[in-house]
Amino acid sequence: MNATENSGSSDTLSWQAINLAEIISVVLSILLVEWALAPFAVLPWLLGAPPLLAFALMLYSHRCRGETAQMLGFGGRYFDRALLLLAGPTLLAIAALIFVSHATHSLHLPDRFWARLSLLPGWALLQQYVLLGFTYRRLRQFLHANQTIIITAGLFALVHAPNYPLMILTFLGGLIWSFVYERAPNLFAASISHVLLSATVLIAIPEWILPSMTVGYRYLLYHNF
Amino acid sequence: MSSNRLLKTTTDVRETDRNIGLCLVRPADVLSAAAKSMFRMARCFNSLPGLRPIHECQRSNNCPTPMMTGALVNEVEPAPETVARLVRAVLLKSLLEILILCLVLGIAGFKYFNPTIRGEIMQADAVSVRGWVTNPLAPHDPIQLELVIDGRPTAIMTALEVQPGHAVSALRRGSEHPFEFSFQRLPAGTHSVQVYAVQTTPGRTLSLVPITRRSETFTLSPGR
Repeated sequence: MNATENSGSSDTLSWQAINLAEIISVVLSILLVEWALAPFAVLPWLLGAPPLLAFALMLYSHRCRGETAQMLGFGGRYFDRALLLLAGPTLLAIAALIFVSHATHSLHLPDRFWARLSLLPGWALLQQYVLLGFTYRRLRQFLHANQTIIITAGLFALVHAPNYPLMILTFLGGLIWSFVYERAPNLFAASISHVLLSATVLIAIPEWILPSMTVGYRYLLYHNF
Repeated sequence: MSSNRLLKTTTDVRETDRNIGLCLVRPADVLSAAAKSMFRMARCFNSLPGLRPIHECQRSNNCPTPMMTGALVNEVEPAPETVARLVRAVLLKSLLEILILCLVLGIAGFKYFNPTIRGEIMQADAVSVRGWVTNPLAPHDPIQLELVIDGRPTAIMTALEVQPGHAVSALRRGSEHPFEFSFQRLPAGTHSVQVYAVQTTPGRTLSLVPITRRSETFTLSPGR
């Protein structure tokens, strides 16, 4: 009896450990590019290798666990509910950002705004997938919902270090998106919110607060202290 | 208030002040208070009917929309083979990333801190330094050089492959770039001279690679 219990608890432990290992592995891939490879940009295509490996690991993990795209939140299910839940905080945040920009006369069109805007939907969906479809789901296997929400938002902010204004914004965004994902797991709705908020941040936040959207080593390299 | 409490020693007062100060600014306390208030807020949100988490809806069969096939939390423990496969995948990915890191650092080491640059200071005197330098990885590219005398950067120049007047020696040495620095007369005494190859790295950084293992040292007598 004891042996069976021990075996059961060790299985649970190994399952928790593998969930944690997967998250750490994916986060480390992002940090590796931002901090260790970016300073030595010898071959630009080589910078894409760790994210591609992380992506392959995530896909393999979904396959091993029998998770479908629908389960992750890529389908139309929960779209309405998620959009409804996200509408309030997203519109409130947009209104607050526009108010700040109006008060500080900082409404502006940044360089290559339209080009960046055209790439934003894909980029936002990818980020939401890694944040919610993978990290949140894995953390949720062994943590309570509230703990998972805070840790997911914290990890999202961490990968935007050391751009601290962006870290604060991403932490808040991470809290909202994770909170809604727990209640209505849909990545498209979260991506729409992400695109709207990112576009507003680009045009509304004064440059003296958020000089660039770069993160990691490059932020320190090109940032005017 | 008793007189004993009023008659505190200076040390006590300082100690108390320090304690109060610590209580006010301890980051751990601030973080814990913030986390607690966040959890409290989350609990409040959870109690609202429209904002209940998906797994609670599933348990109470009171969901606003039909359930998806899998919940966020897997109730069933996975097979040991699945765990083993995932462990292998994580290890393989880590190994490949280490290899990529080594490859990038290796290439960067050669590109930005080129260890194959060689040269020689053939003559160093009070007013000039002459020698040659070669870069086997890019034999025909010009090499930017910086002269450092007594630890101070003194002059910079670009060593071209073949200079007029050095054609014979250049042919003899292959891809060597002759160089010559001229400067104001140095004061009497012992001086050390080193020539560095300047290399650009990503961003705004330059790296200096010495062309010889040791710097050249020479002494100028007051009479010369």
